[in-house]
Amino acid sequence: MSREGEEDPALEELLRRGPHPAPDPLRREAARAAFLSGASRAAPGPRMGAPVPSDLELYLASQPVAPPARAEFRGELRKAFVLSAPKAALPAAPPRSRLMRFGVPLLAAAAIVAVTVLFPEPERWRVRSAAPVRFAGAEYAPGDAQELAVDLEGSGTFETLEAPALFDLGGKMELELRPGSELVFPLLPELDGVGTVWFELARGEAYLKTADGYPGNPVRIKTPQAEVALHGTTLGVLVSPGGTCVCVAEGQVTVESGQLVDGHMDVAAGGSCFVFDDPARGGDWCAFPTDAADENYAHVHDLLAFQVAAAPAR
Amino acid sequence: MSGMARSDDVSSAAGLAAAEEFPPELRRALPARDPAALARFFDLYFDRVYGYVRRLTGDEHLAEDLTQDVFLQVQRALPSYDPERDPRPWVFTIATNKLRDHWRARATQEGRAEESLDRDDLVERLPALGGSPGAELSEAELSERVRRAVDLLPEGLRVTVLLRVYENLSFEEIGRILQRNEVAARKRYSRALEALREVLGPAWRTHTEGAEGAP
Repeated sequence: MSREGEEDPALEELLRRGPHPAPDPLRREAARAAFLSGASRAAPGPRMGAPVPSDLELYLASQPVAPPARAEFRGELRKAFVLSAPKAALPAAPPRSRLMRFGVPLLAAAAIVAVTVLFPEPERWRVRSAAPVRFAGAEYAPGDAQELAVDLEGSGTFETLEAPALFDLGGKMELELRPGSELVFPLLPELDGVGTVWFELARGEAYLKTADGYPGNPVRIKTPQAEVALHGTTLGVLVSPGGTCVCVAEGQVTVESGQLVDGHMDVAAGGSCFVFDDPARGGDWCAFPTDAADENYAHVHDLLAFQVAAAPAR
Repeated sequence: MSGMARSDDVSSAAGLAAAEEFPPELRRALPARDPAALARFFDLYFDRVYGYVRRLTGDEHLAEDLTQDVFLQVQRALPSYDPERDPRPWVFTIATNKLRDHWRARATQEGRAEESLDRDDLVERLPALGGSPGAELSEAELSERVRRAVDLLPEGLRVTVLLRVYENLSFEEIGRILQRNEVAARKRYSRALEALREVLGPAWRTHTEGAEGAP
């Protein structure tokens, strides 16, 4: 055992050979920020090895984030999460004698299944319209549906002319754009429940519905006066020179606009929210009209027809 | 004072240490909902997601409901999960979106402006937790005071602190979760620490001075 001040070449050599400890990520981050900002030149900054990250960060990290969950809840959720998964169907091994006979077709089928499962085709909008439509400045005839579907994978402005256009996203979302409307089509994010799907309705009228298989990505529709957030629903949005009208046939939406009291309004099924273009008029809410003479009647009527025609809502 | 976690004992602390990663070989089994991969996924993320949600809601039952929603959402989204991506930011994005929806709905019910998760002008005047300079707190008192200080932060700052300190996510990842860029996330974190120091006031200063003076 060596005493204080005494040299121990063997130990020193051992230490030199030992691996460098991996730097703490926060400490490295702080040192990098200090280095890049030149703070270490302007004033004597913290040495590596000094408490960077700060004492406060270290103290916070030493504290438990929250009390643990109830064991019963954890156990039940785990069971539901793990066991509700569909078990993969394993193909039975073919009898040896038939291997050659069925081997090649089976391999081909397996390859097709594997490619389909591992590299699923990205979701793509299918469009139907009885009249020409315009997308990104180009005109597409009703027979150009396939070409249009491919082009819709990039974002762009879609315009309907004489007839409505019906969009279907693999049965997960349906959208109807009424004649004379203009919608900025989104660059579709990965449908994994995370990225927001944005639409922008510049003018006209659109109905939208999410269906059973919709993975839950947030959907938001922008209009010149408002922004609409959907919570699994069927709704219609009308943009006219007077403002934006949002009608909800199913579920609930949040309409956000500086024109509204508190900046937003939640609208449930059977209700409409108006956001007027005139700031002095602000916003308003009313129930679906029953009187055919009401100026909003046609919009609501068509929305309800769309709701019935489209697949059941999730 | 002795309760201070120093840099050399961080690895044993609840946060800051590099979070355990989901094994890449199991990631590939997730889209097919392989039960073994799901079990590992749940065991790795349940406590962290629950802790995150519980801390941000402050309510046990609500945290259970939201955690359940998060894992349900994960189940639904798994077929489209990209195995090349680390599932951690993905899971915490889903959890944060659930919280955002919850806060939005609650704000509407209570007839007030939405919570501050999406706002950048976050730090309003927070109440100081008091304490006089020089008065040393016990470890339990300090711990409680720090916990309260974190809970006083607006949601946007609190989310940033939790994701950074406990999940050790990069600012780029935090920015993506908050739908902001990396610089904004970094600023939020820095503002959060600044606000915490302000809220803790003399208690924290005394504590750090005590720790520095300790042998």
